Amino acid sequence: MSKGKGNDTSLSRRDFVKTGAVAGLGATGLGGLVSCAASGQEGGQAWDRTADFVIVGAGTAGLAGAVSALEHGASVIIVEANYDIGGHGILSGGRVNLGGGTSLQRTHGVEDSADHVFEDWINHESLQSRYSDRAMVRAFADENASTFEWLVENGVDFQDTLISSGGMVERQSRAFQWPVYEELITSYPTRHGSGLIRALEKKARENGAEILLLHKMTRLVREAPTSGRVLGIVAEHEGEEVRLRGTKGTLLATGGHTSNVHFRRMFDPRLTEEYQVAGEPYTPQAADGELAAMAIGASLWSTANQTMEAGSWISKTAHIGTRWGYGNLVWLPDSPMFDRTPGSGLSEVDWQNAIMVTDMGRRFYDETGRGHGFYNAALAYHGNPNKLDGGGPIWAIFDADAVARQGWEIGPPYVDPAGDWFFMADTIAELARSIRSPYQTAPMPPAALEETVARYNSFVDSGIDEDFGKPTPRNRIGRPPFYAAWSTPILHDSLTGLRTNPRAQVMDLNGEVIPGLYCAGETQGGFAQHGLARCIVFGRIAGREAALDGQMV
Amino acid sequence: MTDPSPDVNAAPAHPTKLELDQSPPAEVEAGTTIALSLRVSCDAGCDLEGTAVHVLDEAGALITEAPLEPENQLNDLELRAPSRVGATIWSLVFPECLVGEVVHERSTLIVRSETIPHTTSAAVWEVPSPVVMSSPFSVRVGVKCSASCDLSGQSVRVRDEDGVEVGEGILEETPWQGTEALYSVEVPLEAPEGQSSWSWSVQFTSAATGLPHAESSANFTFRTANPPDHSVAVKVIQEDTNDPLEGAHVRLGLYRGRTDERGLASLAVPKGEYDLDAWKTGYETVLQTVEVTDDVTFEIQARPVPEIDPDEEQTWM
Repeated sequence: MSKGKGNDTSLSRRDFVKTGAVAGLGATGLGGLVSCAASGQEGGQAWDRTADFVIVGAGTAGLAGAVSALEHGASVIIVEANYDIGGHGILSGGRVNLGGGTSLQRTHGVEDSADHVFEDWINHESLQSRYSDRAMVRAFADENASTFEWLVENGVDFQDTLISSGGMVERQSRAFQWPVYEELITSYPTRHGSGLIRALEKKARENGAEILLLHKMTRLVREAPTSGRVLGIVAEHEGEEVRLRGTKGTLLATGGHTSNVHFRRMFDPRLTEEYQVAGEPYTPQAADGELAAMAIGASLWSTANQTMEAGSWISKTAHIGTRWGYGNLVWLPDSPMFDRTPGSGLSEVDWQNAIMVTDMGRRFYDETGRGHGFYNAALAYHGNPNKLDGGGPIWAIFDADAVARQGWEIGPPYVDPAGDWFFMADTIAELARSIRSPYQTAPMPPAALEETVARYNSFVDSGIDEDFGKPTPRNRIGRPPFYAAWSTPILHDSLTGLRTNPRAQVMDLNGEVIPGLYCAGETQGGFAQHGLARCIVFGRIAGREAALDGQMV
Repeated sequence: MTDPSPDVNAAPAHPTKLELDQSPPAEVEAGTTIALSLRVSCDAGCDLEGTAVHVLDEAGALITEAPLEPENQLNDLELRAPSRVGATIWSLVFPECLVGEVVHERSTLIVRSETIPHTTSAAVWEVPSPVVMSSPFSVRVGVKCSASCDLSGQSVRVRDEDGVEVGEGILEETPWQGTEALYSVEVPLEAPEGQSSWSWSVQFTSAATGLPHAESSANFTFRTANPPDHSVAVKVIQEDTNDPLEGAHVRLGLYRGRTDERGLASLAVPKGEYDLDAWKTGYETVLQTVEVTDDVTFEIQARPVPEIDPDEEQTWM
């Protein structure tokens, strides 16, 4: 089993090939790597490749932008840093929150309108819609229904069910999981996003898009450093610089910033390096697009969206004892990512079977609790002078009885007791001493953990948690051996990003459009919506706008 | 190559120096080893391969000769701490020798560390609660040595809140199942009088023989209650099907149990009024207050709660 350390989760094609993973799609994609003929001088610059529309990132927004630009007659090159396409979207649950009167809604007798969508997403009573840019939401709402039909026309196969979306009517649809097993990144059966993403990829390729894998954008090229039109990008491929000209525009669809510790700490300094990110190790949200655009003068937008204490940009780990234990995103042994993980984790955790402690060995909250009260307590200062910001690792502590009650198997492929994310020992004191993690910045004091467990056991005797009000603590932690499993909250959404207008054109700090530069997906700011819908809508808008080169109103 | 009897008339001698890659640990457990990596350097940059570093104990006796590896490096030189506690000194000596035609001078490095006893730690489990006051009960006590020493045959003591010894046991021969080296014993005890909560401790003090072990202790809590008057059966059934629910945790006041395949948990309790509920992942029950005046069976209906799909939780608005 691999032993993940630090934050280095970068992939290379060589690594990928070595793991003997998915061959079919990857091989098709890699075919695009061979031709990089120079396409001459333009705008005083030398370009290796030219297309009407250069898209950075082959995820949800990038692929939507490609299909859209192609149907409006533009030629498209997509550069993708990863060895395969898909970004977060291909790992997602495939729920698409598009309504406004879709054919699927009509089939199910649901009446909806663009106005309803707009009203739902600007509701001032909800933190999650209070801070969004209403012009952005209006554009989203107005293109909701047409975007859903456009997805269907472009080959996305949706299930014949509507799922509640929390708004005034049911809107969400869900794609079918992609049927080609070899083209899945995780075969976990709820990962329907593969159906959306592979369908869009197929359509984009059919219509002539070229996808350059393992090409990482390093910067944008603008006529002058902070003025004039964006001409294209510079990417890095196997150590070589590749310059790509987008004559009608460049789309940043790089997936957001959550994996970039410095970037995310601009909004919340508590989010230090120990917080892992959903979607890794397949696809890091590295802030590539944000940094490149800010370097040429772009503005961020709606940054309050990133710090509102609502929603699930952070969540409890659903799988413990592994590095990435996010919700339904499980790295099964058949995944090409599996050997980069410390295991798929111990799942279906019943928090009556375990306590959670800080890096200092103290409880901090009712373990059965949820929501931002829990996260704020987890991210608080816990008395470790080496760790002033961030809350440090959170460990689930449990005993042999808990393992039996849960029916867990200790060991691969679930957890790796020799790694950095799961530990076992004969006594509580030895368990505290055994914890060695890249993010455990000071040894856990054994006496503190012993005291914590003894005190918790007295709460089990009395049935009352005098410290944190856990509802009727049920089970002592007593029978050896004892276990410590990584349970640090995990991050997800990027909810702020680059300022754009409703036409997905990136804007600068003076509120002026940066000509030739577009943005969509989680790199785009202004609209704090979890999931795929906003990425698809604004990707589609960007593709169309660029193809028509600002001619459409 | 090395010549044990250097020729004093040869070229001027080269000074040498011993340097550790990293400081030695400040403390080392008795009888265990520390690994050091070091380098011998010659000011003139001579390759000293073929020579050896001598390791001497405190009395100056040669423990070992470790041949130098390429680049005058010596990796993972193991030094074993003595079996007694206290300051420990090793001398690492590069003896004067001829390398090629050149005499290389003797150099010495002193390595100091403190030899400490093995750490031990204790666990207490199979602690019943509540226990009937003034009646016998037992707990299991285990002790683990940081170096996984065999602790069988050694004794553990249980002390009450005033530090008075109330029980003793001799650690059994084989480690507790599933552990690396946790030696344990069931210790018989007698519960104190009165209805209360108690915090007692177990203490391990190593016998004077063998390697030194530090003391350790652990606290455990339990509650005492009146003797039971009645048998109470709690039956947990699923609300929708009336099927018995196995593996539900039942709580009747301080008394706890878990349902079997018939959905039954059996408890023996004093007469009185109790809060009763049951709990299992995926179900919810209503807390009820019950009066126990006789042998009785209570029924709890458990309502299945739909599993929350993590994707569902991500829907905002």
